[in-house]
Amino acid sequence: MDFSFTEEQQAIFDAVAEICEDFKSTARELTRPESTLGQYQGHEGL
Amino acid sequence: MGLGFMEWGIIGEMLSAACTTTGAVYGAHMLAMYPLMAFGNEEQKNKYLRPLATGASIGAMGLTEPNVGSDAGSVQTRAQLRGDKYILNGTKIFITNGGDAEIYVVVATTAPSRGTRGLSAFIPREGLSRVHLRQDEKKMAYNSLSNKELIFEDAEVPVENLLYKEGRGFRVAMDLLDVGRIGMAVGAVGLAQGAYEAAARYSLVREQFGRKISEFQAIQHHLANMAMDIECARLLARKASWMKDQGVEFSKIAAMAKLYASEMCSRVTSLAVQIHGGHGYTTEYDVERYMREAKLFEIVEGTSEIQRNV
Repeated sequence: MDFSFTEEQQAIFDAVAEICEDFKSTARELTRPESTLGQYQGHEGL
Repeated sequence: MGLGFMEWGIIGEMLSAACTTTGAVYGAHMLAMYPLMAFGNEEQKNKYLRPLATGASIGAMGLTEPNVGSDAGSVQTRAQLRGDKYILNGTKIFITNGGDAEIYVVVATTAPSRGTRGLSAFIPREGLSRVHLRQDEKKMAYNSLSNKELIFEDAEVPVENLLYKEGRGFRVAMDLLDVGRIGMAVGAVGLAQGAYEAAARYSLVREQFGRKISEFQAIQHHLANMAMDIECARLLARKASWMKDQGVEFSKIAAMAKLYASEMCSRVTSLAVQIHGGHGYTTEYDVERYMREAKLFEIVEGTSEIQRNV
């Protein structure tokens, strides 16, 4: 199996990774707006 | 863009690790694209595959029916040829992207007495005015994912929207399920990766007995097992993708990948809840949702029992 990718393919993966980071932060804001346990644990936003 | 199933799978895994519902939308979209790509004629590709490939349209696929699950060859939705149109009647259920999609591929029977050799695949776009959508299914998880019933009532589908050949719909469906199994495998790997990362992050901040719980060997072993399990499933999924891209027979490896990845995902998400302890059982943390989402992978695109038969 060949797991090497062209620069163009890698650029697409990088772009998707950026979108995914947005998903994660948006999901946290939408689904855990009043999280208190995170604050209690000193790691808000988990 | 030079992307094959390997790249499609990697992107699917990334999306599912961030948001499994988005991964499911992406996977279901391919379920409409693939049969057009593999079996569509040039006109169908230009008319339907192109907008799906550019993202101008969303796609969905309809195979499952109220009485047709694992036994995919016993489809009851009827398609009768009248003049230059097929008239479709029947109900398809659990249609991911249902309602959001503009382009559907569905399987119906044109000759019920011929069993699987009587099935045909259609692109019922022009007939959608006679297709009714019923409300979303209420599910254990994936609350933001559209899963609707598609009800065909004398829906007219022009003969040019027959996909491939009459009587070859089972072949279309089986080929599609093989590809769909790769999609399920990468989705399960992505979700498990998300759960693993959440558990690892939590273990680095949660303190008990005056130490981070990541310092306890019991937790370290859980994380090591999770990482190893994910990597095994990832390699199986990538091998299936690679074999598909090479144009060699990949049904068996796709079934292995789907089976292993889906059961791995349930193990890993359960351990992620375990590492979170009582907090993991609350809706305050994502891991309880991951555990509910994981169960789906053991059921859709062929249950674990069906994969063992494949």
